[in-house]
This record gives sequence, structure tokens and C-alpha cells, in this order.
Amino acid sequence: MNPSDETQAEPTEAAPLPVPTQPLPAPTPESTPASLLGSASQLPAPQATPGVPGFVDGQLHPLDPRNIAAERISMLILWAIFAIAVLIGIAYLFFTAPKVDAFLWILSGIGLALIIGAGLFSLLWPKVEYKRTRFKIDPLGIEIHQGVLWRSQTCVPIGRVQHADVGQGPLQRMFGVSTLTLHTAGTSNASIAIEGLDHAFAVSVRDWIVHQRKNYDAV
Amino acid sequence: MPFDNTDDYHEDAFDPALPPSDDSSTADLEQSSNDTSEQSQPAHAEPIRDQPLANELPLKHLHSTSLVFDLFAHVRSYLFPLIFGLAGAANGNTGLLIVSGILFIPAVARSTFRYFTLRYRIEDAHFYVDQGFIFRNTRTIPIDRIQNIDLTQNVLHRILKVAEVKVETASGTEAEAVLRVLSMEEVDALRKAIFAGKQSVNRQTTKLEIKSTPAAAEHTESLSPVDQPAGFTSENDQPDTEEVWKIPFGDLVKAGIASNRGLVMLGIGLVTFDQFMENGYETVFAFLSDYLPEDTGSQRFYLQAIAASVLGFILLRVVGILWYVLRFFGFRLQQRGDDLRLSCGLLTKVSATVPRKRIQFISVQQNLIMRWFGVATIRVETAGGATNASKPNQAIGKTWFMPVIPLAKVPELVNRLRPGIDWNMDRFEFQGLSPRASTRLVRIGLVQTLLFAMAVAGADCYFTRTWDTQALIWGGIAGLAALPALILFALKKAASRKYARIENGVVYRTGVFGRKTSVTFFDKLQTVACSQTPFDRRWGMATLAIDTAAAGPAGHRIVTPYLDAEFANRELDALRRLAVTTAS
Repeated sequence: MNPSDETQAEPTEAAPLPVPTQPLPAPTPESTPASLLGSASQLPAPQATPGVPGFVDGQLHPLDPRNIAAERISMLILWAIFAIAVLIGIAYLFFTAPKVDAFLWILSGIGLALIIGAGLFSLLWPKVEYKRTRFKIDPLGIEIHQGVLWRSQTCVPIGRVQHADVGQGPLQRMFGVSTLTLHTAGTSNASIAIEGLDHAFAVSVRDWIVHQRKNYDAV
Repeated sequence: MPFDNTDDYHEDAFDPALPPSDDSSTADLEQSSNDTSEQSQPAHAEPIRDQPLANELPLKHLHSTSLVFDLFAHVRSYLFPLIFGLAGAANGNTGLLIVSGILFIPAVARSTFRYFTLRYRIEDAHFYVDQGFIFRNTRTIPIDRIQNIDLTQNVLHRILKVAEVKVETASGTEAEAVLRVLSMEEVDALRKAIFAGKQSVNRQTTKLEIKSTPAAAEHTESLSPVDQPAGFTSENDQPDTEEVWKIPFGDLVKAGIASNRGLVMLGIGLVTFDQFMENGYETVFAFLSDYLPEDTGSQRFYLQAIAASVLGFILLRVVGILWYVLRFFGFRLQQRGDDLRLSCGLLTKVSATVPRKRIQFISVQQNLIMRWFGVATIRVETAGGATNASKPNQAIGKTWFMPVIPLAKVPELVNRLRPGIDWNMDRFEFQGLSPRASTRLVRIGLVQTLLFAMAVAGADCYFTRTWDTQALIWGGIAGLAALPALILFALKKAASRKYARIENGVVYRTGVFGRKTSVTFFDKLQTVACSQTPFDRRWGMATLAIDTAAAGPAGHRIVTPYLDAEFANRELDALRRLAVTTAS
């Protein structure tokens, strides 16, 4: 599902978003989608407080599906550059080699296989990555689950966000998605990016976060 | 802004009989905005003063000896080219000297330029540093953002009664302004002006250090009634200084023996020695022979070598001790309100201030020798300020917060750094790694053994130029020799890594030979992450990483690998809750 669909009511950027009066609502058990890492989100997720935007629901959400296409195209551009480079290399070998032997054929076979493999990878990987990326927003902060082979789950407590950016590359702009980057005062995880959110949604999340930030001292 | 507020403002401004009330914070704000508005409008006819305000400082230049000290600083940073240049010149080769001279020229030009163009002033509660002639660059620092003013004085500074001044804010990497050098009177004036400015801008901070209480008292007397709110005394803002800890000389010697600092120094020494003395090593060997028994025959070389290494080892330790004594002689830690002040140094005196509220991370570290001596090092990480460990003040304030302290004193000091911590290892509920972690680490150890054996066999092949059973035998022997050590190390490593959640933070401890125990606090953690490699997933494990501001300088981070995945996830969730609900 598209996160922007659920939050159509919100994107009123200017309206001040109310602050949850109690930062930690009493946790109540409920079933949440299975976590990537096992049992983390089987723990009770905080309930959305009335007056808080709808996306602050403590549920794991996928990215905007349009991101798959955007990601695919950007990977295919890289793939095209790679393919051209390999083809030029093969052509060069054919033109300069003293004689066309089995070794040359094998080498060009490997080159072609690499091109095909990389092409398939560029087509399939964005979808796999998309399926493995989830985010969750609740009154406590934002949580990002990502990674296919190397998986990670990163939590940014709400008051720790120093500033938040919404950025769009040209391809992202074509597909109406954007990247939300949260900057913390941390060192190794100083900025956390969620790539591929609906643009309007990303903007409203950013505004909510920045608004929340006022209630906390971060360092 | 509601209109009645502005009415208040006018009433306040136009009625001089009305005493500025300090009770309500709004009145306070009004007052300060009043001050600033007065200052920011020089055209305003009313407040004409012959003398500048106490919280202002007219335009000033650097001290006249600045150029010399700036040059010294450059000489120090170009020490190596210089040494090699001189060494080359000593051997009759002036080429290197010319090269190092060329390296030096731009630095000299820059210093001269800096000296003639740098000016600083305080105006409108801002500290300005102007620099440059054609491209003028003005740095503006709001007074209330200034965290502290650090001084560095080496022997020459002290003789000439000047000091290098660093003005620091909470910003990232570098000191906000470096004034090299100012005379002590100017330093005093600067401190006073900044202090006064801070008072009028922001009465709640006590971050700034003032050299001595008499000076502070003097300055409050000189304030005009407009600037001095009723009931304000300097004592309120500058509570008494409390002596926390002085490092006794014996402890410095212990720390010096335990440290490997000498290694670097000795390396530099040996290189220089090699450059300047022809046949230097032979001379040393011959010198040693004089003290060795005569009739040792063919064993003589080995004896010489052993004697030389013993001498080297002793020298290493002596250099270590010297380094510690030079650097930390007279080390004292004082507490004034919420600030911890450090000062130390035998020749070069260094002082630094660590605001307690900014401490993000405390690490208690010991190496093997320190464990034998029963002493430890305490390092802290603070948000902002410069984190460049090569600069003396910052190194003292961060990396070397407490270079050496008896283990028994650690809990008291940690409690001072962060009140409410009961630093008692037995009371922490340490959670070990995943039960399977030792198996996994032993397996890694086996792979390492295999790699080691293969490397030895490969080396044998390389040297004998043949691939034979001899290589395999050597490889096997090396592997068998290394196996028990590697397995033991793996087991010890698995057993020594521990994680604990305490009332207000998280403790992580590592170390097989040495020991590092670090703590960070729920209100200081920035992000919490849990990650799994494909191997982790196979073993049902995960890594829990806690990120804080300015993590790194202490050389220990709270990243716990090989935790049970389920436990790591539970912790992740607990920590993200605690991060938000724990107020800082």
C-alpha cells in the first residue's frame, strides 16, 4: 500500500501539528507485521494519540512502489555504462588480437554473461530491496528496517533529530518520490535516509518531525 | 507577539525609577532585549558613554610577540622536514634544507599576514574576529554560545606573560577562534568582557570560566546599574571551586610505565640518531661490550643483542614516564558548579573546561600493566567543541580526561561526571553474548589457525623455492602452536564482552588483556541500531549499536556484536523508549 494514500487528509503543511500530550502511551499488545529481525515489533506498538497525524501509527509501512521504477531506471543507466564499456573492451580485443582464438571467445562470452547478469540484477534488485524495506513512525520516533543480505533496523528517537531534509533527484522527481534524510548529532549514524517516499508524504513527515524536535533538547 | 507585551516594554524602558525585577523570566527577557536594542542603535541619542560598556571590548590586535609564537607553531608542524633538512645539511647535502625552507615560506607569509590583519572586538553581545586585507573575513560568535576559553602557556609564553587563547563553542571540529597570542591583561579583559556579555545575554549559564573570584567581583562592581539586575551577584553564577582530584607523582610514573607512548618517541629518536651519528649502532654495541663479561666467545653477539633490547625496553619505559610527567605534572581536576576544570603540564601549561552536561560517554580503560598496578584511565566524550586530539587542550579535555587514577577512586569520579551512577561492576546486571557466541568465535579462531598455517607454509615455499613436505610440516607446526592460543583467546573474548542496562544508561565492557568499560546514557543516545550479517542470521545473533554524539575519541564504542538476536531486538525497543522518556 502507498503511504501517501493513507495520509491524504494530512498534507496541510502550514497547520501546526499537535504534540502528543503523553510521550509514551500505555503499550497495548497487538499484532504488527512480522519484523525483519524477528520479534522486535511483536512488542506492543504505541497507539496513535488523537490529534496526531495518521502516519504516526506504529505500523511498518513499505516505501512508495513508484520507487521501484525510479530505482530500476537509475540502475539501468549504470548498467548501460557498464555494458558499453565491456562491449568496447571486447571489440578492442577482437580488433587488436593477432588471431581470433578460443580464449578470446571465452573471454567475450564471460563479458556478455556479465552484461546479461548485471542487466537482470538491475531489473530484479530494486523489487527485492523494496520488499525488504519498511519504516515505522510512532510517537517515540522513526524506525527503518532495511537490507537484503545485511539487514539492519535503525531507530531514531524523536527528539534526537537535529534537522530533516527532503531531497529529490531528477529521476525521483519524474516519479514523484523523494528521499527523507534525518540528521542526528550522532557520529556513525549521523544521517539516516529513507529513500523512496511519496514527496508530499515525505514533506509532511519532515514537518511533523521538525515540529516534535522543539520539545526536546538533543545533545 | 501580543500588543500588551510591547506596552510593558515601553513602560520598562521609559521609567528609570522602576527597578528591573529579576523574579519573572519575562521581565528578564525584556531587560536583555532592552540592553541589546540600546547597543545595536549607536544613533540613539540617549546612552552616550565615554567609556565602553563593561561587556564590550574595543577593536584589538594580537600581542606584538604573536609573530614569534606563530612561527614557532609552524616550526613544530614542519618539524620532520626540518630535522631531515638539517640532517642532510650536516652530511653536506643542502638540497633538503632548501626544500624544507620552501615548505616553510608560505607558512611564514601567512603568519605575518595574519598578525597584521587580525583584530577582535566584542560588541552587541557578539565576539567578532576580523581577518584579511583584501578579502575581509569576519567571524561572529554570539557570546552566549561560547562554551569556554582555553589557555595554553608554554615556558616562553610564561616568561613573556602571554597565552594562546582558544574560544570554543559547541560546534563540530575546530576551535571557533584561535588568538595566538594575547598578553595576560588582554586575556583577562577578554574574559571579563565575555563574562559580562554572557550575563546580560543569558543569565542562566555558568559555562564561562573566570580566572579568579576577586576579578569577577571587581567586574561586577564596575557594572552600571542598568546592566546589573537587582539581587545579582557573581557568587550566584560562580559557585566555589571544589578540588576533585590531584594526580600524585607516583601515579604518573605508574602510568608512564604502563604506556607505550615511548615507542613513538623512541622511533623518532632512533631515526634522528641514525641520521646524525655515523655508525651510531656500532658505537652503542661497543659501549655495551665494555660492560659485558669478557670470555663469552661466540655467544657474544647474542649477549650484546639481549643487552641492547633490555636497554631499549628500559629506555622505552623511561621515555613513557618522561612523557607523562612532562604532560600531566601537577594535574588537577576541579569542579565549579557544572563545569569540570582540568589543568596540568610541567613546561607547557594547559587548561581545559569540560561542561558536565555535555558529557556523552564515559570510558574507564586499563591495559594489562595498569591492571597490575590497580590504576585506570578515564576518558570522556563531550558534544561539540573541537575533537582534534592533537591539540593539547582538546586532548586533555577529551582523550586524556583523567590520565591515571587508582581504581578505587573511579566510582567517585564517575559519579561526579554523571551524578546518580553507582559504578560498581558487581551491581551491573551484565548480559553476556549469545550462548553460541563462544562456539562461533572458536570457529573463527580455527579459520584463523588454518590461514596462519597456510601463510607459514607459503612463506617456506617462497624462501626455499620448492613446494615440498617440509613446507607442510612447518605450516602444521605453526598451526598447532597457534591453535591453543587462538582458541583460548576466542573463549576469553567471548566471555569478556558484556552488556548491561543500568538505571540511566548502558554499559559495555570488553577486553581480554586490558579492559575497557564504557557507559552512555539514555538521554545522550542518538540512534539505536540492530544489524545482522548473513552469518549472524545463521547463528541467530545480531549486533546492537548505540550511537552518541562525538563517538570515537575515547577509542571505545558501544557496539555489541554476537548478541542473541531476540535479546538485541528487545533491547532495541526498550532503548528507543527510554531515549525518549528520559529527560535530559
